[in-house]
Amino acid sequence: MQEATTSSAPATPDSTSHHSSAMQDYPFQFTGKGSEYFAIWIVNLLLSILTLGIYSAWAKVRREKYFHRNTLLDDKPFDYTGDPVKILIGRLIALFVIVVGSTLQNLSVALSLVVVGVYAVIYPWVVVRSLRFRARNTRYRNTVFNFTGTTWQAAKVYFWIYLAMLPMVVVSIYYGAELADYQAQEVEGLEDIPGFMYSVFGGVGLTMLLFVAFFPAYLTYKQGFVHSNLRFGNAQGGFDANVSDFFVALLKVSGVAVLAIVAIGLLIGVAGLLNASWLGVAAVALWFAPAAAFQSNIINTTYNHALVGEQRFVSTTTVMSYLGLLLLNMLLLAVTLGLAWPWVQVRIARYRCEHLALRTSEAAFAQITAEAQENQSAIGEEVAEFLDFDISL
Amino acid sequence: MLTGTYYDGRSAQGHAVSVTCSGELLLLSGAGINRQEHIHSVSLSERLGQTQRQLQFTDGAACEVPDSDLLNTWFASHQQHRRWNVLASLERNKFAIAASVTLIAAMVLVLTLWGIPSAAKKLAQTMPQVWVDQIASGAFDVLDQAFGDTSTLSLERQQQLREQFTQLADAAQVNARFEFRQWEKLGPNAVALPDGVVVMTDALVQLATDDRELLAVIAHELGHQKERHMLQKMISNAGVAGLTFALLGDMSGVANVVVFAPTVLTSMRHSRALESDADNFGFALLQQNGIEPAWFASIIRKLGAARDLAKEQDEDDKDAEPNKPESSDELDKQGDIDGWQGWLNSHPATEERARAAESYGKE
Repeated sequence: MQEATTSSAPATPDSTSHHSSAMQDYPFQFTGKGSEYFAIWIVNLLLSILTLGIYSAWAKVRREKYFHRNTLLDDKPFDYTGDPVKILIGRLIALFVIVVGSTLQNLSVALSLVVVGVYAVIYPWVVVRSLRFRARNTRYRNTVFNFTGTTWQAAKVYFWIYLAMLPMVVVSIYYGAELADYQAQEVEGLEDIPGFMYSVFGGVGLTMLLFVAFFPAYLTYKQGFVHSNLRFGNAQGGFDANVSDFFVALLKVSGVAVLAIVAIGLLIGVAGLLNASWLGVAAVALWFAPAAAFQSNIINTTYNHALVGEQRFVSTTTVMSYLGLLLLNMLLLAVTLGLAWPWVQVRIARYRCEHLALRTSEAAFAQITAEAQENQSAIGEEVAEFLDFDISL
Repeated sequence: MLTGTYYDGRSAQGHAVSVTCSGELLLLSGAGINRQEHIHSVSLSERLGQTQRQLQFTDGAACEVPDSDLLNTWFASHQQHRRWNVLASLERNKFAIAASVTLIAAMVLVLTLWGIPSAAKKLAQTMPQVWVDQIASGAFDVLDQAFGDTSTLSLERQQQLREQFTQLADAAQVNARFEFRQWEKLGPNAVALPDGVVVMTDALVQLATDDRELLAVIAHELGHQKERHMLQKMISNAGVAGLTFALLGDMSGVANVVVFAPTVLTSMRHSRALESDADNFGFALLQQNGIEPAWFASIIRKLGAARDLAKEQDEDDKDAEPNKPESSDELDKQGDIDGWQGWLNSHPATEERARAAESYGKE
């Protein structure tokens, strides 16, 4: 239906003279407002309730669009194009899978293990479909993102976590079977309680140890899998962190955790001596310091090693500012009985944008975005969509 | 006229353009760009907050423009945009926003205070015994292992009380098993567990001066058992959790604080209603078996006095050593006293209930 297209020739990227090759940080910006999003949230929530949840798929798209469109890079907005009908179907399928799964799990120990096994096997597939759905429905500068990771690649990443869980699984299978035996013989409880406890603690302890050992590797491979398979137009994402980078990040988190525990102990002691309960409150606030340290360090390590083509991100979150964000958000939610939810979401998005930039130059920037790929439709990602995996920028 | 950024659909390079509309023709012009399209062959992305909007062309090209009323004028004849515009205007309408807040708040209140508890009651009462056994089996065993002590009462005394209790339970046609335990943290207390076990603590047996006082407590607990109150509470709590999830389903772990509020609200109110139900059941049962309901007044006053005493002692301890740091010992004791008051805390207005017991059947 092009009636009078006199000119739609692609302009050459270097046709204008202002493309300098000096490197510069392009900050992400978030322009959403809490009050504005509150109105959108509450109206869509009511519609979801009135339609007995059916509309919630449309409400989700509305929410995603609001946050994508208010995220700007170089003053240009992102956009979200997810199809509400697909999301609704996905939710119904996921609900069905979960209901059937948990019903089977209640029937017998053996079936329950089978269900867990099936979940473990399909999980990588679900993750890949979800990442692809999200990427293909994200646009920037009229150019679609894509995710090219395969299920097999994802399975290799999750292998580490499954391996770490192995001792716990073995212990629970063994004692699950043993308990069933005892129940069948109508013997009261386990005869060898200490032995049982030792193996459970042994299983938990070994699992935790393996988690600690595997966690840096898992994070490295997982973030690498996510970021190096992301495409923006013709620009391939990349990831150049080593296991040692995440090891150092987690070491810092452990340092903060130890400091926080010592500080909490001191504060509670002093609070008791001086009868000052506000010091106790400060101690509770410190309780969240390790979580803030974890988030901040993982975000920084991930984005400072992520690439788009040749361009790097600069992530500048700090533990203290993240802790402040976390605490004020929880306070807002508690005081308003949850009504501050939209403000909290906007605050999180704004924080993330304020601490993220793309380091590039005009020239390079124009080159990254120089070629749009074919429009791709997302099909069959329904179940994955329910899990709502977030690859948020 | 609007100013926007044009993308040709092949490159992500943006071009500054000005957009105008004359009649049904949309005109884009900028450096090297001059495009005319009939308005019906262009689609306009929906309005949302103050975010930028997109004009999409059939060949994959697009133009981003700031939101403006001008766009709505240009696209007025476009059917497909009406629906989204209705939504966008609802989201801006103060009345619609206020109505949404009010309706949602009202719905949450009605459901948590009335809807869920009464649905839970119906469900609990009609649930087949087989299911109840499935859900509740082992409740006593779990608690018993957690507390891990036995009664200090002599076996003869236990047997003597158990026979009286069982007689009362048979009269009420309730299947119940009676156990005695020390369970010091609960203070003088009796609990009807969902698996049909009624546990009485040593402290309660020692507090009573007449076995009929204990029978009065048991009659009350049998009321809970008969009406499956514990099961009702379980269903009700699950219902509230489900409602919270449905409303704030997109909430992450950060918001767990919020989930707490409606649960507490429901269970407190729910508890009071269940207690007075159990009281009335107990009074009727006592009377049918030739025991004055006034014995209930007697034991409940003793429990009240015991609680007040415990409170005073606690305050005295604090006065004696005002600067004592909060040792773990004191925390434990604090915990004890909190638990100690348990039976009365969830059973409010002691005096009111005592009077109800005394005047029962005398009006």
